[in-house]
Amino acid sequence: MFNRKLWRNLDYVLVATVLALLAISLLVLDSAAASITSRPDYYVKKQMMVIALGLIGILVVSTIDYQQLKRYRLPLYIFNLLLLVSVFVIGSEAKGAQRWIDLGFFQFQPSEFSKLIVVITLAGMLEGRQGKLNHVKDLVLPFIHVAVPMLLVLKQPDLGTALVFMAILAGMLYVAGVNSRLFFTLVGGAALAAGLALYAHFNWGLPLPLEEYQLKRLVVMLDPYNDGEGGRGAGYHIIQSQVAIGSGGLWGKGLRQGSQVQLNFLPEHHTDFIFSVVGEELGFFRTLGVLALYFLLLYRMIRIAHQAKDLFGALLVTGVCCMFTFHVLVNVGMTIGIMPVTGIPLPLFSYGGSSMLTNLLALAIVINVNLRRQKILF
Amino acid sequence: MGSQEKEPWKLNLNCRLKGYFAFVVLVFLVLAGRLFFLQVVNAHEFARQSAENSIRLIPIEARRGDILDRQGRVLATSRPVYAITLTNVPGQDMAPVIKRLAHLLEDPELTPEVIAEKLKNNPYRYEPVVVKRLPAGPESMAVITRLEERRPELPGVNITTEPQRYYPHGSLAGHIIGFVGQITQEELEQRRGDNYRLNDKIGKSGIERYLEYEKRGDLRIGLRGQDGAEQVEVNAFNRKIRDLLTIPPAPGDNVELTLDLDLQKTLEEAMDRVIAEAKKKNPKAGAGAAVVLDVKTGAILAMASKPDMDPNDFVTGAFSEKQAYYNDPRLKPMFNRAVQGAYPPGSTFKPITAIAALLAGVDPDYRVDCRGRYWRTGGISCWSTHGPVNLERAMAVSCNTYFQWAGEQAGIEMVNRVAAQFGLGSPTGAVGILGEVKGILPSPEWKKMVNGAALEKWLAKEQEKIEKKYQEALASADEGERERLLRERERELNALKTRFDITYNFETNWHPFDTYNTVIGQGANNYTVLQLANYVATLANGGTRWRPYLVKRVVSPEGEVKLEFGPEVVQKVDIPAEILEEVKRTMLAVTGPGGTASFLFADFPSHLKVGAKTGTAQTGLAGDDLSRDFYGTFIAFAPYDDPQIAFAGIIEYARHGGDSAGIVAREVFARYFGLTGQLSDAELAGRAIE
Repeated sequence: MFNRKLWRNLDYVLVATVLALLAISLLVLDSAAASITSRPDYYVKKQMMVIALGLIGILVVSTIDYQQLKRYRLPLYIFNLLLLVSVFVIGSEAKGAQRWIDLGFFQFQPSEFSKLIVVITLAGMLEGRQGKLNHVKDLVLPFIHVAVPMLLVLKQPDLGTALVFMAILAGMLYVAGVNSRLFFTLVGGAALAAGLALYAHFNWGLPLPLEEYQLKRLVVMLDPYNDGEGGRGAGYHIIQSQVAIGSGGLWGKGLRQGSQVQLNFLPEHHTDFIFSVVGEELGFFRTLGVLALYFLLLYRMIRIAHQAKDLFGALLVTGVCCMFTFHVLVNVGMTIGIMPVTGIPLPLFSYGGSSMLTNLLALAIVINVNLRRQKILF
Repeated sequence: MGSQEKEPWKLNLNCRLKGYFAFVVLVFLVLAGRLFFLQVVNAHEFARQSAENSIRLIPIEARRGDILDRQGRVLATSRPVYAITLTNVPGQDMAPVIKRLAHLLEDPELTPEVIAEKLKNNPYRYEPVVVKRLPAGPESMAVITRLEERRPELPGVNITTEPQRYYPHGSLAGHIIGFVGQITQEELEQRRGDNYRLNDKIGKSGIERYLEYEKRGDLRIGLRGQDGAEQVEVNAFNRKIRDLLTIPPAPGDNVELTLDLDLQKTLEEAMDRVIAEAKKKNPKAGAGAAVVLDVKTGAILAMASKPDMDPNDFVTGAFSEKQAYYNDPRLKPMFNRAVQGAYPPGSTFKPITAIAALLAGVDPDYRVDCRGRYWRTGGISCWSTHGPVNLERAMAVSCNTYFQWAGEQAGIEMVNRVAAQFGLGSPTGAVGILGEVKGILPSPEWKKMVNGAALEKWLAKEQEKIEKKYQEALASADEGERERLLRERERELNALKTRFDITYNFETNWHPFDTYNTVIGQGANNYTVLQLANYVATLANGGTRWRPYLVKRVVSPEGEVKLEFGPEVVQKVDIPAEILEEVKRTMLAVTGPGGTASFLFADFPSHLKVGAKTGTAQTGLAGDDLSRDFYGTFIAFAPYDDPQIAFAGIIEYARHGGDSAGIVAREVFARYFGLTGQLSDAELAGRAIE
């Protein structure tokens, strides 16, 4: 089953980077969980189980040639939609949003897996349109392809994850070779339109298809104390997170010593705001080190995309890379106050089974493309 | 990479990937730049803000709703207790504080070492740990005052009040009421979204769990209230210096049960006495269960399981001192025997057989001659020699011979059908009851399924054994030897198959003696006491099977009724009213002169006649003596002319149903109908004839 020749291709730097990130994440999780549970090892043990499951998943997925995935594009796509619809039928509510399906041993979040499936199906589609992405009409189908699952996720409502779909679409289109001028016109146009719509909303009351709290998060990003409650309302998270990170200073307060975290000034510090724990307890230098690891990870992915033997493989890796980039940018950005608060986890770091498994499976696909990079030349 | 690089897609891709890489570099430069701004440039400012971060949100626990009986008498409530807590203060040596605190508490058990240990074992470094809880009262006030006076010398010590669950009647109806305990990590995750916190209490069993909390649309229902919060400013010792904002808690709903406290008390006291009596004769005794139902609605008026449990033990921590009692593997006091256990009904099953026989056309006046044993092959002996008996007489004296005959006339299918209509062998679905078991209604299909699966497992295992044996031999055998071995293996497998077929036929097919066993309530028959009570109620009210219910109403503290339960018909039995009347009449004979329960209700006034059936059931447990280890079972309804309540009870290892569970029924009926001048138990027992 395991072809030795294949494994000679393995990018050890990538693997080492991933393992280093996982190890650090467990250390930080252990500290973050200390103030929220009476069983200190509960979260770490559960997370370790998920990681073990994901690593086994990597080994299994590596044995199957990624080119097989192309053949199952359509069933995968349909499966994806069914999965997302099922949330509304059998899902359970958490904090006013339907995102979870209870599987007994763990709560499954289909929107996480959905991103990965979209990367696969979109890569298959774009490979077939190679060199034919020069006009707006060429982009209609790829756009619809992503928009359908994205709207389902938006309906849950999960704005953050829906935006990840847009990032994946943009990144993959760009790398697939869409006409440059067209691309930047569209991206610039979309950004301008979004900005104008928001301006119009706040100044002239233009109705937007967004929830009140989502808009409020945008406002408080610019000035967290201007939340109507003097920084104790919607701005609370942003303020406390920045105070946590800033007060970490150069060397941090040490694991389990961060007062912001341990006194629970900062809610959800084991999931979406885990990076604040890194900042407060580990300090500037080590936090920069963690960022450097993410940078290295993304760099190695781009390198693997570069070495891929076909465009499908390159696009798969690009899609995963875009997903990771967006997650890191938005999650870290949120904790340091340059991005609005959205429920987006930090990949390979935040506590949560669905997210961790998805990210490890995404890495499995990257490794798969990496292993099969050489064209067989006879 | 050779020739690949010349391919146009590859060239284009490389160019685009470079562009993307540039974007990634830009992203990380921005992130790192902002990090530098926060952690290096502004580190001092943020460190100051962090140190001054003094506004904390402290939850205020909502009062849990009360549990009341049908007349509003309190079964479970919450009362305030003082909690003296200790918190680690950063930069403070806690040893002298602990020493002073121990001195002031004047509790010989709380030495400085014990308190230090508590603080050390606190898993949340900066959260307070409870050193001692004091019930409200003048004695506690003295301690509190002492502490308050010395407050400045006690940094980290706080005094708060919190509601604590209290069950004023102790073990009375303990299984039904249930208890609350600290939420576990699993429950916390399950209840995500319901605003539970780390140290919250949650209903663990009984009504406390059944009506803990539920969201139905916008309506919040349950005993649990909604916690409030207090935003306070604290000083460096983590002690409150100023209130900023208070969100008041909303208390939980009150739950009114169908239970009658007086009747429950009578039931439990009678059971305690009867069980104590049984213990004198058989050391295995010590347990039992009983249920009293309103036959016109299905309301549960009383329900008890012995040995009992006191929910207070699980709230105050007395549980740990009584571990030996609560963990007794044989008595299992935590176990609600009335619904979580199934028992052989013994002769209390006979009315079912009687109905089936009448449905099959048996003439109730036909006499069967009892000579101490049913005469057919496989027939079971009777406990006496009754001579010629008709249905009424047979019921009155509980004649096994007659009922085996009657059951055979009806056929097992008919008996099964009648039993199923009365709800035997399936959970009653009672409102307010958790963990009801199904029991067993033995039928030919049931026997095939249960025994068949076990036998097939056995066959597969034996076959594997043979295969294995020959596999080893075959591996090292030569050509001629091989053939012989193969033939031998074939022969052995065939022999096994033949043996299996014979056993299978015997063990999975329904035989006449299975019918004989079943129709007199022995064999595999196993029902919950609640099922038995509901069956009697159904018979008594003329064939309406209600869903039993324990919860009457859930009422908000403002008096708004949030949930209401009432009579709900599960099934109307498909049996002619005359047949039910006929069988009820035979049950009246059981308490009449010469009946097995004649001594029990003899002193009841004539307008209060009781229909009943006694039972003496083989336990069916390994290690029990078949000649002396019996369960006493008893079912009854009253008044005969217009039935109001039904009773079913079982006393483990009490031998006879009449002078064990029967006495309990008698006490309950006497109480319910307000009779005075009771006979003593000893007198009653002396008059027992079964």
